[in-house]
Amino acid sequence: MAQKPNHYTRLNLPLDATPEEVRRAYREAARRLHPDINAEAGDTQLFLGIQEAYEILSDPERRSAYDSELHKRTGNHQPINVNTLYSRTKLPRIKEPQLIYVTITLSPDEVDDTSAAPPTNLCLVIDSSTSMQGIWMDMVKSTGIELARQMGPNDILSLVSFNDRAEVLVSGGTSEDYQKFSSSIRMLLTRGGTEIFQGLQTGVNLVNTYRRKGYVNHVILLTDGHTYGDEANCLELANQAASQGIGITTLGIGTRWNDVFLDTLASRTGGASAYIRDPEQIRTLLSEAFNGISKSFADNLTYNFDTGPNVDLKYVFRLQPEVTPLEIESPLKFGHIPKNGDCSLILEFLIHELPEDVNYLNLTKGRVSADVPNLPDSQIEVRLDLSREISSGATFETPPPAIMKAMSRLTLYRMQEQAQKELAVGQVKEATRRLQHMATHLLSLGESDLALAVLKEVDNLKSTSSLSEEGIKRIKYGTRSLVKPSPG
Amino acid sequence: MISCNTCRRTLVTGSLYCSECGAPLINIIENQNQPPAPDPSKQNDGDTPNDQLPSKSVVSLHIVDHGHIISLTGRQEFTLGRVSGSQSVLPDIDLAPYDAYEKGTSRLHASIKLDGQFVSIIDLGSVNGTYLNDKPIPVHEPQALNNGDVISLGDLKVQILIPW
Repeated sequence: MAQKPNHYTRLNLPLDATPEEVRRAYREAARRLHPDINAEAGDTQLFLGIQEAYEILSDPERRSAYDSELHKRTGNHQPINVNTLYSRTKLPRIKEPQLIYVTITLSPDEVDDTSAAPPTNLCLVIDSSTSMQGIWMDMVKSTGIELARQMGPNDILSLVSFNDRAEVLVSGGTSEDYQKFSSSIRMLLTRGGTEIFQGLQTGVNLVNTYRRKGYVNHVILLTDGHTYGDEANCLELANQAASQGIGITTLGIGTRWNDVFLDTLASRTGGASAYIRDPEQIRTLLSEAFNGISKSFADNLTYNFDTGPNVDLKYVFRLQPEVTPLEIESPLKFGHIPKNGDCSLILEFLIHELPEDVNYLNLTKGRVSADVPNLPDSQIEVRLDLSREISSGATFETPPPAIMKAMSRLTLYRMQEQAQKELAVGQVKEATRRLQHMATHLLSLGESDLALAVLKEVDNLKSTSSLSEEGIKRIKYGTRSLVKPSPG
Repeated sequence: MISCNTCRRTLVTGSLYCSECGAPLINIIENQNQPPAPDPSKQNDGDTPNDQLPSKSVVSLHIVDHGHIISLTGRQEFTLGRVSGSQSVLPDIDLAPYDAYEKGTSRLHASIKLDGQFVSIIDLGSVNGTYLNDKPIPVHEPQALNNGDVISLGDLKVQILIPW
C-alpha cells in the first residue's frame, strides 16, 4: 500500500461516492475522532484531515476541481464520461403524480482516432426462404461479399443461411477465407419458409463458440418474413445471448415481417433494428449495421439499477448511436458507445407521490457496466444514480432544449405506438384522429413524405379500419429516425 | 395536472408534449388551479419574492410562419438560436424546429431581456443579422421592443407579444 492518502482515502470512500455517502462517512469518522471524545495523540491531526476532506468533497465545485487535479496526479481516470440532463432542476412538492425526463449521455473520455477499432466476432444470419428470391437476394449477396472483403486481420465472421432449417456456410472465417465466403454466398439458393429460431440459434451458437475477451460479439439477422410459433424461443435465446454479452441486430426486409417481434428481439440485447424498404437500401443499411458494431469504443453497456420509492420508469429510448426503444427493465441493456461519438438515452419517470418528509428523491440508483476492449482488464463499472432535490412551491422553468427537441420527435413516435394500440382494441376513431395530428406536426417539421404516408393510412383507416403493413412500418421507422439528433 | 391548450386533454404534471395531439406544453404554467398548500411552519414573512407574473402577463414569442407561441417564463434573459449537433453553448429557446437553419438563424443569434416592464433584444453577433420591423439593428446593442414588433433572425420572423 504505497498509495498516498487523498481526501477519498481519508474518508475511506470510492472515487465515485455519492454526496450522501460522503456525508455519512464524514459523520462516522468525525464521531470516532472528535477531539472532545478522543484525545489520543495524532487523532486531532486525523480529525483535521477528515474535516478538510469533507469540506472539499461536499462542495460540488471544489470536489470536481479536486477530482481533476487528482486525476492528473495519479493518471487514474474513468475512461467513460457520463453526463445527465434533467427536464427540471428541482421536483415541485405537489400532491399528485408528475413526470420527469432525463437524458444520459456516455462518451469516451478521450477521443482517440489513432487506436484501432476492436476486432469483431460476427455472424451474419441470412433468410434464404423462397420469398427472398430475385433482386433482394442478389443485393444481399453482393453486400455480403463486399463486407467479407472489408474484414480486418483479426476479425472473425461466420455465415448462416436459414429457411425451414439452418445451414452453416462459414464457421469462424477470417480475412484469409475470402474465397470461401464469396463462393458460399454466391451458391446460396432460396427455398422453403422462414423459421427464425433455426437461423438465430445457429448464429448465436457460432458467435458463442468464437467469443473471446477484447472482441465485439454480435449477430446480424436479415429476414423478410414472419416466423411462426417460435417467437417465444427466439426471445428466450435473445435473453441468453444478452447474458453472454452477445448483441443481436435485426434487419427486416420488405413489408411482410413482424416489426414488434424483431424490435423486441434486438432491444433485449441492446442491439438495433431497421426497416429495409427497397433493395437499394440493403447495401447502406447492412453496411451501417456492420460499421456501427465494429467501430465500438465500449460494448455490452448494461445498467443495473433500482428505482426509488414511488418512482416508475415508464419509457426508455436510445437517441444515439442507433435510435431504438429499449426494454424497460433492470438490467437495462443499451448497446455500445461508438469510438468517436456518444451513446445517449432518454428516460421518462413517473413519480406517483413525493414522500412527505424528504428533500431529495432518488429516481434510480445503480451501476453501468461495459466491456471496453482496448483497456487492459477490458471491463469497467461506473456508478450512475439519478436524483433530484425537491422544492416546495411551484417552479417555472424551460427544460433544456436538447430534451425538448428529443421529446418533440419522440412524442410523434409514441403517438404512432399509441395509434397501433388503439387499433388493436378497435378504437378506430381515436387512432384516426391521432394520425391526423401526427400528419400536421410532420408537415410543420418539413417531413412531407412521411406526412403523406400518414395521411394515406388515415384514408386506409376510413375505408378498411386497418393500416397497411407497409404503412405501419414506414410510419414507425420514419418517425423513429426523426428522433436522431441532427449531425453537426 | 395540466391541460393541453390545443386539445384540452388533461395530462400529468411535468409532461412536455401532449400525448394526445403532440402539441408542446411548456408554455403552460403548472398548478394554476392548485396553489401549493400553505406551509403552517413558514408564515409569510413579507419578503417572499413576487417577481413571478401571473400567466396572463407573460411575454411570448409568436413564430409567424408556424403560428406557434412560446412563452418566456422562468428567467430574465432568453438566448435565441438553433441547436445543431454537439455545440457546447445551447440557446434557451431552440428555433431549429421552425426551419431556423434554412432561414439563416445563427446557433446563438440574439438575446431577449426582460427587465421589469421593459423588454429588449440584443443581437449576439449573428451571421445574417437581426431586423426589427425590417430595419437592421446594430450588433451587441440593446434595442427596446414593443408589443407587436416583428423581429427577423436571418429570415425567421418572430413577433413579440407583450401583454401590458
